[in-house]
Amino acid sequence: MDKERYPVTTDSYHITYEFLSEGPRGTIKKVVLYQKQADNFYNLAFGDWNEDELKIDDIVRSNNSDRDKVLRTVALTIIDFIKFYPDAIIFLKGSTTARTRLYQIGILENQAEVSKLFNIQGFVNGGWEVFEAGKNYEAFVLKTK
Amino acid sequence: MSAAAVKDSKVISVTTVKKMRDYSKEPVFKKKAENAAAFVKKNGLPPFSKSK
Repeated sequence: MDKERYPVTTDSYHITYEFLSEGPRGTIKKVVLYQKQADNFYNLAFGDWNEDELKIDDIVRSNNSDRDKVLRTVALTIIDFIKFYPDAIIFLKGSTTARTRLYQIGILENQAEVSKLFNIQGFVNGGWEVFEAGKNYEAFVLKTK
Repeated sequence: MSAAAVKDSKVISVTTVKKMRDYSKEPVFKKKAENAAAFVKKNGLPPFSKSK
């Protein structure tokens, strides 16, 4: 996690995280929200805050030329979140196949660090299995070791 | 918290603030939560997730 990433702000519950993506398309506020679904089970929701319409966008592609930095920053929020919710199971699934693929890229690019901390399972061909490179998963679940 | 306030905050990694916008009612995020619940209801969770 020593690569470049954005500074992050969180609330006192460490449930909501904000950071600012900066690039050719300007400054875009990114929001990560950990949504409690059941005991210890959280969904990671991620989107752009639209300042003009005061709402979250998740379909529009930012194209701010900082994909890897954004993914590393999302990974940082996971690590911070888990400090406060060490028994949490985190579910990740993008709103589109492409978005889910981005999560996969993020896991792969941070795999050395992430795999030290988490057991990672991916959903493929109708079942869960230990995450490995080279497969296209539909969803992911992370839990601390 | 405004985008400017976040930008101006002197944070290195993670900074905690007392108040932040409540995004939980955002329609997009509510839909994400519903989709996650539906996916898990249909497909279950991996075995390790049942240990706690």
